[in-house]
Amino acid sequence: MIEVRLFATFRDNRFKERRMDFPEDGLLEDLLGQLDIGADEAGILLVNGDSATPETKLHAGDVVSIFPAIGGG
Amino acid sequence: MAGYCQKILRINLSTGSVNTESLDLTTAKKFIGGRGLGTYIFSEEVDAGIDPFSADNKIIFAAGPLTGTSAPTGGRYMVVTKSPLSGTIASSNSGGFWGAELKHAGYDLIIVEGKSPRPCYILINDSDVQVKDAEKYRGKLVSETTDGLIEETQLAKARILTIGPAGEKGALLASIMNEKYRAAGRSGVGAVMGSKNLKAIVVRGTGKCRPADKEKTKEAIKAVRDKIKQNDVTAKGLPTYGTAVLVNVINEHGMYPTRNFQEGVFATADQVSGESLAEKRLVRNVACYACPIACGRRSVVDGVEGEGPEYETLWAYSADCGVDDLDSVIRANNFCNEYGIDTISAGATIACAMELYAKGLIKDDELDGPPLNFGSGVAIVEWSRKMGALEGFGEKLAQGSYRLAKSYGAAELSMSVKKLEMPAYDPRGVQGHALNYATSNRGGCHVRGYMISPEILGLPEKLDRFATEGKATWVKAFQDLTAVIDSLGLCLFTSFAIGADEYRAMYNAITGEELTTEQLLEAGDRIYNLERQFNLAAGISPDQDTLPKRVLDEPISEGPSKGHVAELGKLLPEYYKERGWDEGGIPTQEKLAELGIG
Ligand code: SF4
Repeated sequence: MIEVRLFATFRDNRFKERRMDFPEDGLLEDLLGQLDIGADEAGILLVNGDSATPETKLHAGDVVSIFPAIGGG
Repeated sequence: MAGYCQKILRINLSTGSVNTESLDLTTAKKFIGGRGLGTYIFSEEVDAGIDPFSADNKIIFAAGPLTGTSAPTGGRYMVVTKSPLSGTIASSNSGGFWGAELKHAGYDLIIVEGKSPRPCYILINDSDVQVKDAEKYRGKLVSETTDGLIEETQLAKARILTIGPAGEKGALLASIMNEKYRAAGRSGVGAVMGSKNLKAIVVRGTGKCRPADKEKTKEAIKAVRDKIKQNDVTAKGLPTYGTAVLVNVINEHGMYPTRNFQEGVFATADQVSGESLAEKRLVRNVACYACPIACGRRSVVDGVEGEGPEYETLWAYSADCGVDDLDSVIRANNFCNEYGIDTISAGATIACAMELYAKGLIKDDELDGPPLNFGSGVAIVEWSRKMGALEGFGEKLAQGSYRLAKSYGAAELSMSVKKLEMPAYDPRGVQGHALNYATSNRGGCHVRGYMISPEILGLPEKLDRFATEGKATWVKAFQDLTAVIDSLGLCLFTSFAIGADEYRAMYNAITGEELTTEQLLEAGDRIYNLERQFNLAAGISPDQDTLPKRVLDEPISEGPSKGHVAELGKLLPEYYKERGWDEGGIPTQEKLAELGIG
């Protein structure tokens, strides 16, 4: 089980926060695929608050935060 | 030289004299305009040791060579003076339309000197410039003043810059507002205007800023517009959610300062995020002059339409005060805009007061308003109003968190650098940004070198946010480029989509100059050193290049940034070296000579 948090436009027609079954050592890239989010659309990827990439392996209990490319100040 | 109007307006409020002077183009080129040129003129004319409220202090309103042109976001102006809050050089930037209107009226800069015996305002209607009586606007809110002046002058298209009651009464957190909602917010510049009895500046300009090379300008601007359109941040993120989109980003990194920087995660941040604002209270997005990005928020609560809140404001009033009621934050923001106070410093000062109250230092019998409990929406709204009106205990708050905390013998609870409150990024979670806070020439400020861009957002490339090595080089580069953007008269948000080469191309096409990118960035370095020199002469010694004890010594207790402190000891020596300053942080004679300011 992992926890997935989506932000900004990624929430449209998806969800805000969801607990999901996900294979141990499965790639973040596959999770993005399941969510129909292109790896190039994802601006910021975090696993437990640490910077991640599509190649990052996920483990039970991980919190994955997915943002589109954004900026501000 | 095109781009510049080549005219300076000098107004002495003690004598009522109005003079037009020509702009020295060699100097203009050396310091670009806006922040750079304003600072140069200010430091030539005003003694650094001046009391900011003395009639001999001056206040300069400076547009850049690209302000008022067709360059995207070219609506910016800078307010340059000596800050009554921090004692440093102040250069507060604002967007909207006022800066462009000033250029269209035919002026690059206004230098205001002296002190008017009575409340006054300046009316600029192209070349007709007058100092007029403003007695009837005394104590009036920003919107009342703006509407009143439009009616009085019968200039429906005029742009109005004004202070609110807070600036008139000398609040050290006072801002200057234009078009009601845009703010030159930081460093207490509104109080300097107030000290001169100057309530407002009305500008109507019907001229145009013609570029030196029309074709080249078209080309350069098209290239920039295309980049802005193709970039996800400037084309999607900012227009859809505004700056407030950062709430969740920064919170998820565990560096969202909570309850006066006591924690790094605000559990209910999403209720007070850009996403919630867009869903619940957003009316539409709005743009400044010539801006294709349109990050501004028009929001409504209690039937009152206002602009904002921006990310920084949302943070200061929500996480920093522990409040998760969006409507209370919007109400507090509206009071700040109406009374003319800086939302970052105001929210952060209330947060500091809340910690002083929680620790039993501020007592109930001192308070002529709601208890200062963390989490109280009623408190942030009512204390913002009282702060703006300098009413009761609000008067104490209006002097900022440093003076407040110090008066209770607890200066270390002020989360400020050089007495200016730090914004919405805990420096413990982002080391380059920590260095930027410590070395920003106006104190705790995020927009002098926005290291969040590479360290969090991955723009232009992703850096390890906890690493210290190599950060000094990045900080210097960001600080110098920012000085250039601020001096050109453009919005910093363009830098998400374009780099130094594009700024150079626009500058050269519009002015007809042939600067290289290196020369432009060297001008940024020159401006940074000039500001540093002013601060040193003003008695702001390098030992103030530091951060609050809390972020240096106490690791973040929970969340993704847990265990980290700001490692300034490792960062600062490298930075001084990178800048060409000596080990003690003083610019060397060689460095100053190299930059032509020795
Ligand atoms: S990006 Fe936002 S702040 Fe900058 S000029 Fe455009 S609307 Fe104004």
